[in-house]
Amino acid sequence: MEKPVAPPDSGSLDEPVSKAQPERCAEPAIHGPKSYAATERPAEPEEIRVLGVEDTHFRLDGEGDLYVTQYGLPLENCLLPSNLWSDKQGFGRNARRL
Amino acid sequence: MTGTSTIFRVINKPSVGRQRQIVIKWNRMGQDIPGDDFADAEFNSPFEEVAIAVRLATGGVPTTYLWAIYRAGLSSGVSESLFDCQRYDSHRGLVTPHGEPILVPHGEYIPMWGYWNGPDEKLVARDGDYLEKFNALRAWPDGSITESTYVALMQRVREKLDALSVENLNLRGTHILLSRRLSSGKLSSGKLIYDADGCPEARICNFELLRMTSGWDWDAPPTALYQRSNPGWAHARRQAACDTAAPGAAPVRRAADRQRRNWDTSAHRASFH
Repeated sequence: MEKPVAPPDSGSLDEPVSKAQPERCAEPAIHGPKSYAATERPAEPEEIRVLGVEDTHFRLDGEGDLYVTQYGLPLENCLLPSNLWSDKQGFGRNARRL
Repeated sequence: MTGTSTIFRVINKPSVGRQRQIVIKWNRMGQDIPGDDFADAEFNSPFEEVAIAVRLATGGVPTTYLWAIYRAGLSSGVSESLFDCQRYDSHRGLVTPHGEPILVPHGEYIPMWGYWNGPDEKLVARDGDYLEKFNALRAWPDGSITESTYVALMQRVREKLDALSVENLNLRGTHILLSRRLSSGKLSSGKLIYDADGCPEARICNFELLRMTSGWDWDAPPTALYQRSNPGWAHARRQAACDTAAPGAAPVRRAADRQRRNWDTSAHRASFH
């Protein structure tokens, strides 16, 4: 069988990919984000000015975007969604409703 | 509007190296505002929340810190019939360097706020409970402040917002955080934090229904924290200004320039301490 060819910039097919897909429960105890991006990695960040405020824009592989403010820039790794939640169980364990 | 928004406190994975407490709060842009008191109002977009929070913080009004905005890849799931698209129209000109709109219709936007338990500068170095927060409405029945102090505090917040041309359509005691020091690590035992004027330090934590009455035409100065983290920022900004200026053009003096020169004044420092 012919080996599939990775599309440009999609990363190597040999890289480990999380097998844990988002698990959807009919009525979850905690309603977390609708998407969980276990494998997302930021592309090269770019500066963007919105309404007079400078943000740093990360395009995420999971089709999301992350706009980090000046306040959050020293913590950018902590703010990546993949470092906050990667599945519903993880979010449920990690999150406390305020 | 209790119960109409979803707010969580999350902690990042230990693998990152250091753990931070982060408040995530779903943005309700485009959704109907519950109640009959807000017929002409709309929830702010997440970017408006950021701009207003920075505007207030740099103007000397303490706020919680908005660290980031996450746009999830999936739709918010809000029915189109319940959705008001005015914000997409007003933000149509706001695009990324790639020309993509920053607001995607029916996108799920999740602002990430710093969990207020101490000044950001301390939290960046090391997370921990430096302060205990509680909302002003709770402080009154708790006996932490008197009724007259509560009323005066709310009035003072409104006056500060007015001075910065920011209108709060829904100013509530639950949107104002007070802080007290932790005494020997025990909660609810420390002294209330007061500002330089001797009033309880009031920190705004909700920006959904704040409105800039004078428009958005201003340049936010970099925060002191950002300046320290990015030592080359001043040079980069000057270089960018030179690159975009027409040859021989006289420098344009703007109110924002004057503000930028003065951002390290007491008003700005007061927003952190």
